[in-house]
Amino acid sequence: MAIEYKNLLENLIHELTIINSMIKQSADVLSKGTKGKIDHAAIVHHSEVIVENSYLFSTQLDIVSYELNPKYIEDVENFGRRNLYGKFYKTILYFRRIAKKKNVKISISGDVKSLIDAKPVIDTLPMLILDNAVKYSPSGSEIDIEFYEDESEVQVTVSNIGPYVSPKERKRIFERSFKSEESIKLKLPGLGLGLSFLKFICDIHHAAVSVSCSDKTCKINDIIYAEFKLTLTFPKNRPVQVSVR
Amino acid sequence: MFSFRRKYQLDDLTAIVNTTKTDRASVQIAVIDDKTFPLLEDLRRHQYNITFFHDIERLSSLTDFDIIVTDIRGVGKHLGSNLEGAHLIEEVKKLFPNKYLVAYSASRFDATMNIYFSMCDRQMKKDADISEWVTLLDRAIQHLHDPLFQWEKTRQLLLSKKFSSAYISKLEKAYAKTIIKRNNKYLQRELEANTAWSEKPIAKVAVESITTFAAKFIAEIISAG
Repeated sequence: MAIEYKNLLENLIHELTIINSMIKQSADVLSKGTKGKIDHAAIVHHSEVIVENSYLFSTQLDIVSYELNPKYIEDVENFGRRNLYGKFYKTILYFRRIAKKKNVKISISGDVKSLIDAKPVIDTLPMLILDNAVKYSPSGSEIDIEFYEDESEVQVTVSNIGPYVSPKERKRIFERSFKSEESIKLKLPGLGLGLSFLKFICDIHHAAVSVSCSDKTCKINDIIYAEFKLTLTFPKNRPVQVSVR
Repeated sequence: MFSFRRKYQLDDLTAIVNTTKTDRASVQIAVIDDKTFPLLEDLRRHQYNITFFHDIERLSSLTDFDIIVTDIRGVGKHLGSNLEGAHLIEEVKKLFPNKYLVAYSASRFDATMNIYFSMCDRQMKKDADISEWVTLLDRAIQHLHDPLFQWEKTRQLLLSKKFSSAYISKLEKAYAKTIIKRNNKYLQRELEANTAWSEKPIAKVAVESITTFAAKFIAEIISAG
């Protein structure tokens, strides 16, 4: 367990250092701007960099808080009515710049206004998904987020090109620290906790989560890529609990 | 044998719409944090009536507040417990069970604090943004004037104090009748009839609080016509 905590701490320090350096760079530029050396567009740009990185900062803290105390989300956080589409839409605005840097496009369709019964942790979900999708998408590719709803459910499907995940690996993809063979080759930092956290969030919301990976593949820099789809289906209303009354 | 006496139930309350509009400024909010509360001025600009405390010396200073927002660490030091804000939450819950309590903290990773977070009506991350606070406070204001929400809080407390479901059900009917008939005597009667209060003082405070809430709620719906 001590090694696990050490890894968690080391990864957190690594991630937060990167995020903080982005915030610092932009804050430095802005502070110089107070002396009249910066134009309006640059002010907007650097302010947005600070905002999007501070949201990423929060997501990292959320993951570590959950790792240390998963019962908080299960036992303490209350359910309320939340707009999943709105959460994704807002997160995309923050992520577009990061994605643009990698030459990756993000699109969202199917404006679903219905609310779902969800805990505040649901706010972390779009951040977790987009962070992963942008991280693993090759330059020049697209991330598609499609919303769909019927009477009782809200469904979101996120499709992107990512490192190939074999059928055998797909069964283990939500396990803690699991990474597919092709994604390991990318040598990206991270402990592989994002998808297990995502599965946990889905489970406490009685949401179904599934992944699929196309067999049509292509090779970029010796890494096999394929279309990867993540589908989450949330019930609009939480299943009725047996009351103590 | 048939009975033509009407049975008053909690479900009947859903039909009662409190037409009195509660504006943000009329609800007193206390925020307690030993450090700064960065969104204080932003929230005040949103018309919330907020009084900020670095700490409180006595619990009675919270009497007039409807919503209490507190950090879970670094406050409540004058109350003499090393549990700090967690102890403050516990005491507020005992003395003012119907106040709307919000805990906010960066200590969500600490499992020993879960029980204290659970005592609150809502929890908030320390790095929450303005829109999250506005949503939370608006919902809190709505809940403060919701007779079903207020009853549920009282019911949970009575259950935790091992009151029988038969007694809780009797009290629930008296509460529903009090609001529907707009007369506090039904609830008052139940409060006075119970002889076991001395053994369960916290439950007594809770029932007194719901009685006070009912009286205030009735006054509001009468004045709203």
